[in-house]
Amino acid sequence: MDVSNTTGRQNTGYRVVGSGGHAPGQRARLSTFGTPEALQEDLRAERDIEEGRFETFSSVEEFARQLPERLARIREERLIDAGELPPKGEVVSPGSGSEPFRVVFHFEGKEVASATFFKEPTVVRLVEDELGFRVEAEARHS
Amino acid sequence: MDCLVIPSDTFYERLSSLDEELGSSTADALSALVEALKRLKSYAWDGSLPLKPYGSSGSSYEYEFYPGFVFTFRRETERDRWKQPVRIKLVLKSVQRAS
Repeated sequence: MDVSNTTGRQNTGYRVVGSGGHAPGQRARLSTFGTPEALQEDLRAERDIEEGRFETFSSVEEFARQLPERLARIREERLIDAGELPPKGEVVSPGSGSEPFRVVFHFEGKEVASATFFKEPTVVRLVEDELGFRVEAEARHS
Repeated sequence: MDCLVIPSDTFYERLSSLDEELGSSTADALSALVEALKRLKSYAWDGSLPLKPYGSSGSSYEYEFYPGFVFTFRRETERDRWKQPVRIKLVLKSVQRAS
């Protein structure tokens, strides 16, 4: 299932949770430059670049502008990982046809729209119009 | 000269670790990071910045941008057909404790 945001707003979010739920992540502590651990980290960063796990900003100023929002997202994800915040959105995959799919979208930390489906849609998107936010979905063709 | 800033996922992860560690001082550290990048953009490579090369390629550096903390990066220069520099890329790799 694809989940997307068509509102043009930057700080909406959702989280996809597999059938086993979201496992709390353990964030690594900072390593010390020059140690084997730091060297591994360096190699990992190079792999990130090779495999497309990076962002590109056209200037230092553009990078600086997005940093506060990025940091807010990082903090929120950390709280979610620690179980101190509920996941921002959920798509719960049912094991059988009896359990519904529920998709929740958040904007600035608040739930703005949600939808429940009894059959998995192919695409779920958040749209915004004069009435506010709503969820649109495309049905799966079978 | 244009300057592209390219943070890796690992860089962002370590930024999160830095945030966890510094708490309310993170904003100061981020300001220092941005200031360091601005300086790098126009750096004349005259030894005036607190950065040191490392690794075998000769293009990776550590930069102590905030007391006790460095960020590591790779610098690439794009040149035109006359070998004149037209754009630099700063690939941000990680944030670590200074050794």
